[in-house]
Amino acid sequence: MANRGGHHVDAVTERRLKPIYDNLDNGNYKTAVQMADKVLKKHKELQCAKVLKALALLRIGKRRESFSLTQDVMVTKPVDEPTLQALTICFREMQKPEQIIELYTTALKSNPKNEEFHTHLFMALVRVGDYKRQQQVAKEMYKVFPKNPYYFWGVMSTILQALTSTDEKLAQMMYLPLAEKMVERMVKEKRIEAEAEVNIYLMILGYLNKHEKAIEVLDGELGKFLKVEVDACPIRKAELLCKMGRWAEANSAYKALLTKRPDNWLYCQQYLKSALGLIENNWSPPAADENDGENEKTCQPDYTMDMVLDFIQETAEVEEKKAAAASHAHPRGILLSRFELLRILKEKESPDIGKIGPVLELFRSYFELFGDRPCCYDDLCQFLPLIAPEDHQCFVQSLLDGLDMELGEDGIKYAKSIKQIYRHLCILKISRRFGLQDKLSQDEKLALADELIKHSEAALSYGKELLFTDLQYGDEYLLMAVHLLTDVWEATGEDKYLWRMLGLLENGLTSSASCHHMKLLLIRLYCLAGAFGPIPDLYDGLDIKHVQQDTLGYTVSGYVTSLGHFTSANALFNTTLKFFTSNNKDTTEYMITAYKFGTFHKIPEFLTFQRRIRNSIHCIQVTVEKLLLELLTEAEIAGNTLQDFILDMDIHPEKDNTKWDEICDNRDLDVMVSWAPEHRLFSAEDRKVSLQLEKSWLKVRQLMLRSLAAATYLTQNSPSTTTNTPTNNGDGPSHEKVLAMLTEQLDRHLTEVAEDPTLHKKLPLQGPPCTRLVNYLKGNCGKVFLLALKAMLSVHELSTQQDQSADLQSTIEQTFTNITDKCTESIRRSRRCLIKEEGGARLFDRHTLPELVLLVETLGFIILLAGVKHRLLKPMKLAAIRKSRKKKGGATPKLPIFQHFKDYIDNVQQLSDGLSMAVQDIDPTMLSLDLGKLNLSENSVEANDEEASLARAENTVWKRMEKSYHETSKELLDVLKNKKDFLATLKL
Amino acid sequence: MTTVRPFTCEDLFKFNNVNLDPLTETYGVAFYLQYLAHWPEYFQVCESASGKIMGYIMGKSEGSIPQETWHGHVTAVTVAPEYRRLGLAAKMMNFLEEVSEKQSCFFVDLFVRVSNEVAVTMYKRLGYTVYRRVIEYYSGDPDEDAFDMRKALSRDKDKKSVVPLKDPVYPEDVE
Repeated sequence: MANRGGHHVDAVTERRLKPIYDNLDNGNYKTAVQMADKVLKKHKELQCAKVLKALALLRIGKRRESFSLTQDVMVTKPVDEPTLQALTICFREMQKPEQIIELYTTALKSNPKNEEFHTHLFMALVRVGDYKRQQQVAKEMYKVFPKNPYYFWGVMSTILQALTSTDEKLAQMMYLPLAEKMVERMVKEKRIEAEAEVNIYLMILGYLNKHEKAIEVLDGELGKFLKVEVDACPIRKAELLCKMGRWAEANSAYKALLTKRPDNWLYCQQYLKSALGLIENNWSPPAADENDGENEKTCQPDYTMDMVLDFIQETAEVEEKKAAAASHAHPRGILLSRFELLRILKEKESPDIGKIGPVLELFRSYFELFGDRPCCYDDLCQFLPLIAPEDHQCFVQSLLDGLDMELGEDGIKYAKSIKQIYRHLCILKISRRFGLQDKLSQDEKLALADELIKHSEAALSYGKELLFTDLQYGDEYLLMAVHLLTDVWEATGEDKYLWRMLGLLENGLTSSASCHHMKLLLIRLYCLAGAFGPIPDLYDGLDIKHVQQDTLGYTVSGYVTSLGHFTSANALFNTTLKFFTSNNKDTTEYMITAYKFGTFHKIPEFLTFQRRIRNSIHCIQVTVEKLLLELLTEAEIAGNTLQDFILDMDIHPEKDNTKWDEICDNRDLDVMVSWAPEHRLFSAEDRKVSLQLEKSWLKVRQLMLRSLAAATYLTQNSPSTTTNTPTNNGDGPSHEKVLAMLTEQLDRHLTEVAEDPTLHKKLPLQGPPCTRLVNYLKGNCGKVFLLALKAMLSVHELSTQQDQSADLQSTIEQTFTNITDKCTESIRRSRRCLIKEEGGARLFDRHTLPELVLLVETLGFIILLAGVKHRLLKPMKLAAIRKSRKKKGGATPKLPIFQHFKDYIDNVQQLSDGLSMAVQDIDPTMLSLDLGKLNLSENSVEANDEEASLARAENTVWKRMEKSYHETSKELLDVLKNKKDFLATLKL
Repeated sequence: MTTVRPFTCEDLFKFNNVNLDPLTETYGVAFYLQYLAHWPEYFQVCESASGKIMGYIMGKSEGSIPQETWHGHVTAVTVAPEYRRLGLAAKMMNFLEEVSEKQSCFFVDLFVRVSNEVAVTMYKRLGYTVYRRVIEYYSGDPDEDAFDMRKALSRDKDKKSVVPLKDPVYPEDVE
């Protein structure tokens, strides 16, 4: 949007420009250009019209033309507001923030007293993060316009120099003390005016660990400035006291806070921590203070275990009365503090542990109070290790016994109310967490799953009044049944359980349409089944957008390509990348806002946030996958050459632009619920392993892309074509050296990865998906690709030699043969029937598809590389023909390489045909298979209503699978066909 | 047990269990950043002892003091399904009112879909009354009206700000 500010502009000019602005605002950029031209015809001097034209041009993608127009205006050193504003917008959209700096630096030279220009210059510097110059400009501004905010902009700029300095010493010894001094000067001169100024002072003292001084600030006159936050002073003071280990004061402070907000968990923790600090140090109040009437009782620290327990008891009682009077929920915090205390004492093996009372009783009474709330399990979960393993079974049983459920005709006890459902679920979750379900036999697990499914169906009767957007009360019964089935599936390896789970979840969603846990599980299970088709609907159903694309995108982004849904992949990648690009700009703009409103403490936070998004592994992965996908599906089709694509992508193969150590893992891996025992949960260690594997895979993909680019550049070494090619202007390494280096790196990396012991580590289903590394290595895709690169290097070497060596030619022949052999082997291995018969049963082979997708990709790239080889050999062939024509009569011996290449192309053609057949074989439609009727998932189709709906759901599953496999097959065949067409043109 | 603390950018990475609820809108990052930059004291999050986000509230203060329209506004308040019925929303609303009191606002207001009976009842229980109806405030299929609900704060001694308007208004009449 074009911002129009200009009150300095005369009305006439404004009227002239209005139509251009309007068209820009309405997205009619072409019309805007015409309008601007019209105005400019009459008024050549109207710079603003030029800039608006540039803006319109920019928005229709004419970057170069737009930029050169802006530069014409820059030369005139504009100072009128509309022109400056329009230019600012232009440069922002071009992502050339440094131009804005120049713009206002120049404008200021002719108007050094213009406050707004100063501000704009400062903000322009914020955009590029030039903290040092920011500080100078702020200082300058304060001199000309002595206003406090400008002074503190300078202070903040100094802090940022400290925070971003790579030299910790410089930060602590120079920048921060300087910032401190700057503020203290204002304090001394009594010129502090605003809360923001005190906050920034406290922030500096925090960074310098000057807690004592910070407390003085809070207690003194300056503390009175802190008005906006609730309880700012007492809360901050308490935090500082705790940090300094001044336990007595900290304890009284938190005691006071806790009395006011007894549910606050942080206060509970800090209260206990400080009390235990006092107990451990055998602290007691100084004698003189004991009769000090000034201190109220609540403010005196608790320094014995009895005092602590009394305080908890008293507070809990007071709150209980309050809760009863107002009929609202009990505060859980203060009650849970007993558990927390137990946990700490147990950890310390303290003898005081006996004072708290019997552990099981504590759990029972908490369950009594809160068991009917869905959060009860989550509250207790972290304290469950307090219960001894030998007590697990009887504790669970005693809770169940206390739950007076109703015995149904089928011998199952059903919950009689919504509250009972929640209690029952809480017990089941505790039992699963204890690992009691793990001790069951496979048959018992299956029986329990069946029972849970019945519970979930029975629970539906309580939820008839619920809205579409509500969750059903018994959803978690179903989820747990699926978790149990997963256990059995993983233990037995029998896929019939997978099909059953898919059916159950599809069926579950028909009665609880908003349950995101079911949707997330369905997404994962369909992907494991090889079907991406149903995913876009499920994913859209979760309404995943904006930052969630970064945190949750991982659930689908790997599968969309590995399962060959290239059209969906393209769409997904585009929206994802749009988020990442726009976010970068947005965050900067809000840093500017933070300066304006004096919310300085948010600025470092925004910086960290920006860094996390910018270095998100998901962003880097999607970027490289998108480019590889583009090459695979679009290069060398309809005259769009590989060279064009590579040049457009602006790849610099010689350097690795990824800052591997700064990569951030923003995946939200806790989003899927699990009640499994601790040792089976996705752990911090697992997270490290998973990230490392993702990085390994990312590295493979980047090396592939870079080598494809380097190979492409090989054909552009002749001086006439180097204009657009990066590097090779004499200073960088030659393209063949780059390619040789990348080949070697990829080779080494693949060897390392193959030996990585974590490669086959089994991660929980609720964790992240596995990378494609295992399939990639198994299918020999990397080896084949490497061979093709090696052949590429040899062919290039041959093409540069004067007298082509016979040895080299036979090496090439050998490599070609190797490629063909390896490919044949891989295709043979992965060409399998979708349905196999085993021991009289029909089994669906869900593993074939991802293997085939990788082979199609590999072959696609082999063909693209063959194209490059063709471009290198073609001139050699022409030269040979010329030579033979000159030597009329005497037939020149043909170079064997031409025949080798022809054979190679023929072989690759055959490989493509073979692969096409294999791909057709995974299309159920082509095979006229009706998956639903193949009895792949032993569903017992009885006449019973519920089971009929389940059978229907399973049928839905198979229909979706069929459709999805058909789609994949079609997409893969498309790719193969296009590449085969290209292959046919590679005649020498 | 809940820790109420200021919402930070980091929370955007882990608020999924709240935001996957169909009634909780996920806004563009810019929207959250704007609130964080401008009214950080109004943007608070409730965190469970296990570190999960239970819910959060976003708000702001705006209006004019001379016209006595200076007020706190509830932009969004949401609680994850498993933490409902614990009085969290009420707790966060109280918090927002406290902040608005500190900023000497005259009242607090909020908009709610007329169909969202659960929410309307809850707000009424917290002392909010319908000030006016805004026609087709929520776009969708079909568009839906909103209640503009208000609660007077101590600065508005005579509770002038909450006297209901007789006629409904159009979105363009609302700031």
